[in-house]
Amino acid sequence: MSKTLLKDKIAPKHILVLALLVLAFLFPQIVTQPYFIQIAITVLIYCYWSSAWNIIGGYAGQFALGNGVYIGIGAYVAVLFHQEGFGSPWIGMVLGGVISVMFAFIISKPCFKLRGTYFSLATVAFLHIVRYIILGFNSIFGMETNGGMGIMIPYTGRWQDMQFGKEGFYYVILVMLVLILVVSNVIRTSKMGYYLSAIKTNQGAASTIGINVPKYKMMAQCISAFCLALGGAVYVHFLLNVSPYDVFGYDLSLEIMIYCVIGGSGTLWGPVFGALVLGIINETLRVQLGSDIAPLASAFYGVALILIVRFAPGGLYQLGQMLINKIKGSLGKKKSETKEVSVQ
Amino acid sequence: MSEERIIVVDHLTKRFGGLKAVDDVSIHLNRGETLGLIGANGAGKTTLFNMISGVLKPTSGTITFDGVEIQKKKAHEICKMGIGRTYQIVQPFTTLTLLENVLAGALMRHPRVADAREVAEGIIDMLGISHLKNTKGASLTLIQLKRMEIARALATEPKVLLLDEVMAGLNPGERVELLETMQKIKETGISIIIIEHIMKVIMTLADRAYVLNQGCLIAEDTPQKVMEHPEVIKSYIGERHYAS
Ligand SMILES: Nc1ncnc2c1ncn2[C@@H]1O[C@H](COP(=O)(O)OP(=O)(O)OP(=O)(O)O)[C@@H](O)[C@H]1O
Ligand SMILES: [Mg+2]
Repeated sequence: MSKTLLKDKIAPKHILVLALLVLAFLFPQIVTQPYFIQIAITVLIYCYWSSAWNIIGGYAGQFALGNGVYIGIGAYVAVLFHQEGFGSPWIGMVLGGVISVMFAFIISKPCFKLRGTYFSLATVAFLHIVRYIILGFNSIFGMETNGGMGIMIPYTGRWQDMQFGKEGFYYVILVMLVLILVVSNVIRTSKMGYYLSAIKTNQGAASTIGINVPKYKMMAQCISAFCLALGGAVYVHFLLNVSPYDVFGYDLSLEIMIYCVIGGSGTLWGPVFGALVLGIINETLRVQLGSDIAPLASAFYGVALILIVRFAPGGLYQLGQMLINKIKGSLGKKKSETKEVSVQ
Repeated sequence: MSEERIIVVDHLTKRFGGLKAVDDVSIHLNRGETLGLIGANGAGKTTLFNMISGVLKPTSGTITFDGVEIQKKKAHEICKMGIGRTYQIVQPFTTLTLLENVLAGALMRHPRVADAREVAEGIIDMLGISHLKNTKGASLTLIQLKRMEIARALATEPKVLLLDEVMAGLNPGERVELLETMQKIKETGISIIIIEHIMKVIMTLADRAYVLNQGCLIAEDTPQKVMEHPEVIKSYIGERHYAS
């Protein structure tokens, strides 16, 4: 969370970010095969979700393992809102976000009294409860949800119906990713960011310097839930179907968390980094080897997670940063003047 | 007379199961005063601090701060009202730098990070730890952490500062340094309660002192007079090896 000493100058990392952004925006123009764009969209949404999870799981350090539930709520609300003729799924998406925040509030209130593992388990329990409700009923409040079959979204191709073809989705999700990074950066560098870091490392000391610990945890959880829900709404319109096994699946919640932790939770770029690397590996293998890789992927994640937690708790991102600093240190020995302060 | 009492603790008791860690204790702190709180290990001093700062809720009794009862309030509310504390066992935010630790304390009254940073820098300057500002909490030594904790508490701009054994674990040279710092803080006019086993600190800084023993208040007087109290002589001679 340290700031660079030369904060007014344009650092190399700003140029790097700009280059990355330009590259990301040009990608569909350069690589036009639908197969690659398909993978890119999936990877981007995982970058987005991991960044959203990072707000509660990384910055606030609260391991909300079942937070994928908000992806599902956002998806279902947006789809049902349109299907039942209330209006555009865009409005449904915002409503899904609001409803997710309401759930996050109600669920988290008692959960935040629990610490560590118990908090994680409580969020998982909520995910399972919601999935079984969706699986168990064919309609909810008179709206057709078709239980385990899920809902097909009729293709119209109209942007009002949140449909714009592959390239369109790519850009929409990319913009969402940029937005969530901006939001994360604002949180990180503001009072809230410092408070969440304090809460993450020492809740007792945090409360005796005037931090309302439950309130700040709740804010982080609600922002995270809102962002997850928006992503859910958009992604299912890309898939043209919403299935409880997908959006309320435990796997999705776990994947988001794992990408974030392996990439570097509590850092701005860690979740993006993790989702990019693991997402690309995962999607490529899935396409090459079919669905047989699911157990293989789980085993791979398990091993990777243990290694990261044991040897590099800052994730791949900080590992890379340390390497770069080492290389820099051994190249130029005038480090006494430009002391590199890590910028998470 | 009662309006100059900034803190009044009245018949305060804290039980842990069968143990009365604090037993019917009534004390007060005057505005601008430095108060010493002494007593053998396990006397209940830290427990008393924990109740005043809202970390623990008393079993019975009241604590009044600036005319308001606070024994049911939460720790962050009490901090906002103007009571700051340090911990006997240091509690840094390990992933934050020293400056950020103090900055986090300043944010309560200065919500803009830039303002809080300025306040924090002024305080760590006063405490002589500016050169460490970019060191992470996890890498600081004990004396640095003790100073950081004082700085972090001061950053919340308290009216009352509770210092829990800031000298413990320091070598004699470090103690002299820290005593000077505490003198500086006292001169700002803030009200202070000091828990300390090192008698020199109490003799130098305190205007008045209380003695606790096994949860009970056994003496209240000037530091000099308190030292002559039979119970104090008994417990401190018995503990000399610890105290110095
Ligand atoms: N959270 C707790 N649960 C149970 N017992 C406790 C708790 N906190 C303190 N005690 C007990 O209460 C008594 C008073 O402890 P306290 O820490 O207040 O003593 P102290 O005067 O600060 O001692 P020291 O000089 O060693 O710091 C001790 O017997 C201690 O074991
Ligand atoms: Mg103590």
